Amino acid sequence: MKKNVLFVALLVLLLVLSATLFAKTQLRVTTWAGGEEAALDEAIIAEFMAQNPEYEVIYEPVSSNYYQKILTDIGAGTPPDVVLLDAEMVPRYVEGDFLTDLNPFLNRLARENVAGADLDGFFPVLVDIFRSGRSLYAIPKDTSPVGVFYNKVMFDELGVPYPPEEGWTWEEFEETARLLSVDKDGDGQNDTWGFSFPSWVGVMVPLLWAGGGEIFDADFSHVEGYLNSETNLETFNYFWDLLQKGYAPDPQEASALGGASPLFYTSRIGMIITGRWFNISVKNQIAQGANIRLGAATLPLKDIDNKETVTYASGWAVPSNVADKQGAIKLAAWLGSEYAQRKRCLEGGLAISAQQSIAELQASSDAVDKVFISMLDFARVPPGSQTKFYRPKFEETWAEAFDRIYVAGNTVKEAFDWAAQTMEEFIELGEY
Amino acid sequence: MKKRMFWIITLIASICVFSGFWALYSVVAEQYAQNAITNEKFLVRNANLHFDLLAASRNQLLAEMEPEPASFLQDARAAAGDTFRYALFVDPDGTVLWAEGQHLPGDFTATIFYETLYYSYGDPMSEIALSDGTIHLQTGQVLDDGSVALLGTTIDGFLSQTMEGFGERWLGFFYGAHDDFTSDAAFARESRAQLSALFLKSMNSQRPESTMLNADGVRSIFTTVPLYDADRWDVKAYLGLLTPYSFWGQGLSQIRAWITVVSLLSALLSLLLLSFFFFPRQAEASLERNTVQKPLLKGFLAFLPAVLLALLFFSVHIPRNLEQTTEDSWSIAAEQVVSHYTENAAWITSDLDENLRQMKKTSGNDITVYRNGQVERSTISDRMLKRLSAEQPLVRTAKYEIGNVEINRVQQKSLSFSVGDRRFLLTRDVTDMNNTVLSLQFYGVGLVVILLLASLMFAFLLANIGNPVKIKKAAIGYAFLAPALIHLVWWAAGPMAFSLFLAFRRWSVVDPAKPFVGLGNFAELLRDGPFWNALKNTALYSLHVPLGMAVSLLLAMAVNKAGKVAILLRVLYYLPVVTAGVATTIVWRWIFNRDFGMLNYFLGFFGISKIAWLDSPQFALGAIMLISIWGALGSQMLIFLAGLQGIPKEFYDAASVDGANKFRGFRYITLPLLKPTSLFVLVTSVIGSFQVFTPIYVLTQGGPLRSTDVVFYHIWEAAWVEMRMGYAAAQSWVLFLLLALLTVLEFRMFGKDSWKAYK
Repeated sequence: MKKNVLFVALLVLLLVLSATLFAKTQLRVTTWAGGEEAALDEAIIAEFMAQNPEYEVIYEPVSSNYYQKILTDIGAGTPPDVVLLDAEMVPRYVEGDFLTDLNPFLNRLARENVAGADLDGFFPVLVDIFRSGRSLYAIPKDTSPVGVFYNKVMFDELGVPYPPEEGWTWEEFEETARLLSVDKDGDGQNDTWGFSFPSWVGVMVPLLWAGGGEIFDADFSHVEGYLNSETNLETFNYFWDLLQKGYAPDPQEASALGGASPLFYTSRIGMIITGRWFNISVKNQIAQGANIRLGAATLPLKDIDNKETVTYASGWAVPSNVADKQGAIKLAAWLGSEYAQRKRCLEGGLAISAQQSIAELQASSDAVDKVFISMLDFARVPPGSQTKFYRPKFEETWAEAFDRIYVAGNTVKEAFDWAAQTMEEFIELGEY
Repeated sequence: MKKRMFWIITLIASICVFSGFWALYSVVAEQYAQNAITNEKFLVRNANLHFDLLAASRNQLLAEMEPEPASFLQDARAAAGDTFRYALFVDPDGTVLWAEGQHLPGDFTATIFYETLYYSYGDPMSEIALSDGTIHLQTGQVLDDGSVALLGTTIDGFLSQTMEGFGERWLGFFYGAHDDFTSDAAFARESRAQLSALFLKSMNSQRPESTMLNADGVRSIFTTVPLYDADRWDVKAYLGLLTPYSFWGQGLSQIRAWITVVSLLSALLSLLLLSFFFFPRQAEASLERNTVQKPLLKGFLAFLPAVLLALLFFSVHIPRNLEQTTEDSWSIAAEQVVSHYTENAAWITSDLDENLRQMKKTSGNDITVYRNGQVERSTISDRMLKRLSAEQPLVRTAKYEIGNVEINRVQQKSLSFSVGDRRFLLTRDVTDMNNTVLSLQFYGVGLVVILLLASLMFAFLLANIGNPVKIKKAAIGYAFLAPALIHLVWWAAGPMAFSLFLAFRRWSVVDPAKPFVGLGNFAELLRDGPFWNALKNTALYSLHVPLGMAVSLLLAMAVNKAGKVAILLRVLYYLPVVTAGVATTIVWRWIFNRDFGMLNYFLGFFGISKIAWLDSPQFALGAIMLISIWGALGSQMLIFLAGLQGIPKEFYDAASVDGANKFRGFRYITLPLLKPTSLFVLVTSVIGSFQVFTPIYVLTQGGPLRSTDVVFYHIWEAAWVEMRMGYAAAQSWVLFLLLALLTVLEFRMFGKDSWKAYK
């Protein structure tokens, strides 16, 4: 009897001891990933837990209202330990003091050879996206520069030469678009087009840069005289003229036909100006039997020696009010590490790796990716990563300006002047 | 017997009042400790700033010296004066050329500090160091030829200087890692584990952290902040501040005294007033007929003193008391802050921009520098600087002034003083304190509500003391009501009251400061063009309601027949109501497609050219109206059907005997008798139409050119995209009032007969 009691007591003691000894620190990661990406993330996280048994990582993908969810969590004092942020969200979050400066921690972790903590392996432009002064607010996840995708099948059928890989001019772009625009049934309307009109702000901004213009001044305190400069008007008019000439489908028509992407998949438009993420959808379409051979080129440039584009990125950030910053940053670093990049970008092909070594491997295995990776030599950081006035204010203002031109029939100059004035007011009032 | 019962109930009532106050006292005490900790963190951050300024002044010392090995030692001794500990010179190869003084660091060339200096572009740098068991400050500089000069100085003076004005506090360094540190504090030995955990927390949070600990038997608050290396990367040591809790306990004992008096007084008054109002004066036998006039009013009056005292306590006493503590903490730090700023003015102004930013980061206070009455530099953004209010002085001494200012309506405690021709304004955000007050006031409101409810309950009990059956019946009745009542309060009345509270504040989910803005949100609404545009769109949009009702009524009449076909049709017409809104909306997107949509296809038969329904400002709202008519058809039809079936068939028979045709029957029987039903459908549909959201969210997001931006969507954007809950709440209340007004108009329009049917 006594023995039994002793045995039970010992067992309880052992259980309590093991529970305290092996109690794991919980870390929560929130991302917007779905399906395939979530599966890769989970594999990456499983490896982290295997290497760091003291942590238990809870993966929480959020499919809709992502930023509302994490902001509410941060506000309520129960933030996820690691959150995925678009570069465009960082300035607002930094302003609100919602993010941890990772630099002091990373330095220490890098000395301990913690995976992903050494920033030297990343493309410098990506680190710059998340850097503010001496502070770093996120570890780059991956990246997507903006360029031109084209369908070689359509080019071949119409006998149009491929764009040169090292960059091309407005004239070359216009000529290509002209050759791709064909009225097949002779009803006076084109049935195929050169490209899809780039009305989205995320593409228009680098196109304006490639035309030699700017959007904001150097310290992002003014747009007047930049956004509505003669140079930008000329650039926009150049593309607007191509639309009038019928080299791109009318935006309403394109929307009625299902949007630019389906038109590209069905060989109705030959080129599409967008970010590298488009590669994933095209690959899916090819897998489903679409007749596409993909090629890539830089943005059309006004001056061939002045190459411009933007590269969009998201990064792993740590809210400023998490309980275990060290653990959270270790995990954030891991999520950006070579291991994670290899899984996500090389095996999953989801984006261009933020780590140079992995991106090189990607370049050698995919010719389209190679073109996009080469853009990282000159790609600029997105303006939204530098100023809180970009998202959503500039994005909304741009969208309305475009509607003013396209729907309400304003002149390009009127709309650009209106947008510049509206943004100036926002900046003056400090509304973002 | 009844009288004994009376006394028991009255006594319980006054005990309730008494204990209500004391239950709140525990919350107050808890919040008070939090407030004390906030103030301690403020002090330790200021001490940290002093340390940074000391390091900066040592850097300057080195920068001003001749970088000649020969004269360096002499200069260093002279410049450092009493604080001189050692000087060291290392040549570019890393060999120590010469070294002099006490506690020389033997391993200097192997340290990260040595490495850091090489990346410093020749700027002098300082960091805290330990050699020979002595904590001191190392200041080093790489000279032009690549050699390194190092100066070691004591920092004992810093501690004693900073402590001036700090009262009974203890301030000291804990050098090393969080779990392996050196300290001369006696309490550090006893509380090593506790300190270690706190240091880790502070290192991880990059902020000051506090804990309660027993130091030599005295209950104290210990607050710490990490001290970084010269490069601001690694934590080298921790600065710790120990304060006896009794220091802040003073305010709390005042509150305790207040509560004692208030709770006793209100309990006593309620006892007196209850017995005065309710004491059964009749003989025991006639108590059954004991009637008290207006019992609820009297019960309320009996509890009124308690309610008033509680209101006074929470609206005046608590805020004033807590505010005093934040004012006190400036007073404690002021002397030292002023002297450190004065001593280091030359360095601070050498690079105002960078230095102010660094100083703000360390101290947490915003700093604004004025020169000739103009702002020269400020850590407050330009936008906020425009919203900086004038100072309201509270304490004025020869050297400085403590006061209140507001930045963008957020309250700050300020310290201002002059150094040379410059005036410094230091502002401390006291949002934490204000939020503490606010949360206590929430509890206060809770107490008041409970007191009021209790007053009603006790009045009822006392008034019916001779009638236990009535009491029992009431108790059972309320027990049955409770689930619905709780639900109503929790999910409807409570949130509505809260949103009304929000409407007068600037309330963001993520911004801790939630200042009262009065009618500011409503004033902004008046200027908000897009809101009025949205309201105009909403009004236009709601015009679809009568149209939809007409269609529904016709349908209802069509299916108001016996037979399987009619039943099948009713089911079909009702289907849209039970189908998921988003799914059907997406189907509508295809119907509205310009080139392939069904709608344009049919219109094509009549020679109407293609319309971009959702992409043109002229048609988008109309398209949404069409969806809404279709979506509401089923439920409206069902209600009309019920109304139609409520009309006796005899009326029609009588009419047809009199020779009335179908139309006249409809005009003079159906329509008038359907008025109550129509009123119901109209009121609910108009309310529904003012709250339209799904099709707009899915199809147009308010576009093109804001032509489908409706009020509800606008509110949603303010709340969940811009996170401005206060502004969204103000819009919601305006919408609510408009709807209420509209509903009254609708009732008027239909006349008394119609709404009397619902009495």
